Amino acid sequence: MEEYKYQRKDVANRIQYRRLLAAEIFYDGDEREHLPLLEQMTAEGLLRKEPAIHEEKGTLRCARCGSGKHFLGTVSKCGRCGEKCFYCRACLMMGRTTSCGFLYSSASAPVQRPGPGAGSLGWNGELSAGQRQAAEKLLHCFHSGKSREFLLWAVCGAGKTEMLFPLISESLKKGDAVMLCTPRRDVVQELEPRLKQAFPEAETAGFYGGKSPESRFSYADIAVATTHQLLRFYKAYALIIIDEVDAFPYTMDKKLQYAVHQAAADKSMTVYVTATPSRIQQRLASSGSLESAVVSRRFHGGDLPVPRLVWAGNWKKKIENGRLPKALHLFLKEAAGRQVLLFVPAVSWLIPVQKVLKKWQENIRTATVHSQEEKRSERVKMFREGSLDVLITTTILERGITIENVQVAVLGAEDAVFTETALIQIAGRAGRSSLYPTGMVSFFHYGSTREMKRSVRTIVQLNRRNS
Amino acid sequence: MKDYLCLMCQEPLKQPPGWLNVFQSRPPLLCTGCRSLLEAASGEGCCICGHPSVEETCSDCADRKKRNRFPPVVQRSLYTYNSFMKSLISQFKYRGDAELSLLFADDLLKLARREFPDFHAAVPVPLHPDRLWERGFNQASLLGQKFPAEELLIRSGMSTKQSKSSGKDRRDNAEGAFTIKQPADCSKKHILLIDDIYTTGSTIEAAALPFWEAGALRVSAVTAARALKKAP
Repeated sequence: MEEYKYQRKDVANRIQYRRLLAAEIFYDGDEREHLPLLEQMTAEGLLRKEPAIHEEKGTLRCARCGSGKHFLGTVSKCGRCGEKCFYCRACLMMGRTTSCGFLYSSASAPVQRPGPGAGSLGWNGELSAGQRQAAEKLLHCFHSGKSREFLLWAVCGAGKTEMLFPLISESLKKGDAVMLCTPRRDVVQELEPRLKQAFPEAETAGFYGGKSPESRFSYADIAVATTHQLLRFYKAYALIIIDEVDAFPYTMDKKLQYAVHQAAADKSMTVYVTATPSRIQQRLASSGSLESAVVSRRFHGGDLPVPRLVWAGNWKKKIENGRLPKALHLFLKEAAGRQVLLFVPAVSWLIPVQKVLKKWQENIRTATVHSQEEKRSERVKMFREGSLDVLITTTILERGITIENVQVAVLGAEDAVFTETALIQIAGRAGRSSLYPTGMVSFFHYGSTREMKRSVRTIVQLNRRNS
Repeated sequence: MKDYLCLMCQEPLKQPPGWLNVFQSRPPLLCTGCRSLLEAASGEGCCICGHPSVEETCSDCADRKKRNRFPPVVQRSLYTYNSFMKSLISQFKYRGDAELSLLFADDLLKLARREFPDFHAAVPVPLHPDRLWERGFNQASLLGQKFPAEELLIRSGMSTKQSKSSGKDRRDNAEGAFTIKQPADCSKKHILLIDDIYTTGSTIEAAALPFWEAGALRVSAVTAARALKKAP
């Protein structure tokens, strides 16, 4: 087989906006053979080269993901340098960073930039008053260049993505590419086509694990990436938008901060978009030290559905005995043929609940989903198409899913997985379309918790804000 | 206290409180969930390759006995190569997660001491230098890190991966790929080979060949995983 000989332009095309290992740059060829090319380009000042694992204040740290000693593995006798070598286990999935390896980044301006037409908006919907206000504030902040961070607090179903269109358009017109980052792959897959539609002239691309290698290093005017993929980008973006910032697991928080810091250009703006900001963010925003905009109305102008807290007794025992808790029974009756999204606290409850539902009504069409479920997207699609009556799920579907006229129930809302933010997100699944702006939301519990009460209070407060 | 994570699923290890934790210097490497997915390759099996649920000698080993000039290599494995093991090995070898070798290093030594108590030298099956550079480490050497291992072999041939080929090809690939580093005296010695997976036994067979030729008394092998043949 004839091995491909890489040219300077191949390297330049792949390295733009990014910082990569030699193995990533030459993923489809012979790495060892082409190392001299990288050396040469570094000597010519085209590339920057830095150790992949470096020492910082006496401790070793992965230069790509920032993980400390705790995440480093060792090889006592490295096959390359022949000595004791460290490698990072935290970002291993993206290729191995080792103490004897290097990360390369571009030392010159990117080869490709958004073209003159890229910023033209193909979306001809209209923003509501609340949306427009937030969008203008974002633009103002972007132009003034005063603040590096911006919090966009918009309730579930406020039309967050549309609010961002003017800002994205403005950045593209300036010739700067845009990065959108979200915690979950599902959200990337949902957002990317929407952006493509809104910006028909621009090149959009989604980056997430498991994509084919050719598309992994491609160029995009609008890039949509998961946090992990964000780690590949380096000093590249003047505008980074982080969607659903609260959805990042707590442990990911630091990593995200690190990734954003790495991917941001020297002068940049980061927009945090969320429906449920943390208490710290709320405090910073209200004190004015964090620029922010609040959109407390849904785009159709309706109120957020307020959850009902319903006592369900010892539901675990009931389910184990094959009976439906009475309160849930009444809820399903009231739903009367409308689709129901039923949340349970753990994967282990999915099948028992499904069995009980089957027992209750034989012809009911149900399905279960959880994070490890292979048929997840298929089942959600079936639910969306209306060929399922009840979808039983773990918290995996708490956000990002929009289904017309769906009723929402949480069984076992007292469980610790249902935090205030989770419950607000779950309640936000109901009444999202302008055709059906209301919906039932019930939290079935065996002893109410502070989180449940807080979520209700927050929703009521948000509803009160604009009325 | 520092949070220890499971080596495979990266979840924090939850340990029930107990005296054992107080006295144990090191927490387990795997969480109980992942640990339960490992299937020990123990019990009755082929007396040569250790393939489970076979009486006496399995058909492969019988064939090999007829074909070869030298006696067959007796080998034992720790675990069967099930789907969990498959993902574990691929993360270990192909992703390069060297730390995972710790899961097997101690147990391999125990297994060797139990099955082959009189071995003189432990020899990890080497990699081709190109492959070694590419991977960054030799998985067999890492698995043998608790042994007083001696790197007595050199791999000269074979640059196509064994895992990409099958059956007869694997044998052709492996044959004559290994030579002994000079000077090493192997006569009248019991040599123990260490490798990661035993599939058809071609690699082990080829690695054993130079030792037989150098007059070794016996060659045995231990591996971390054992690929099972499909049920007949």
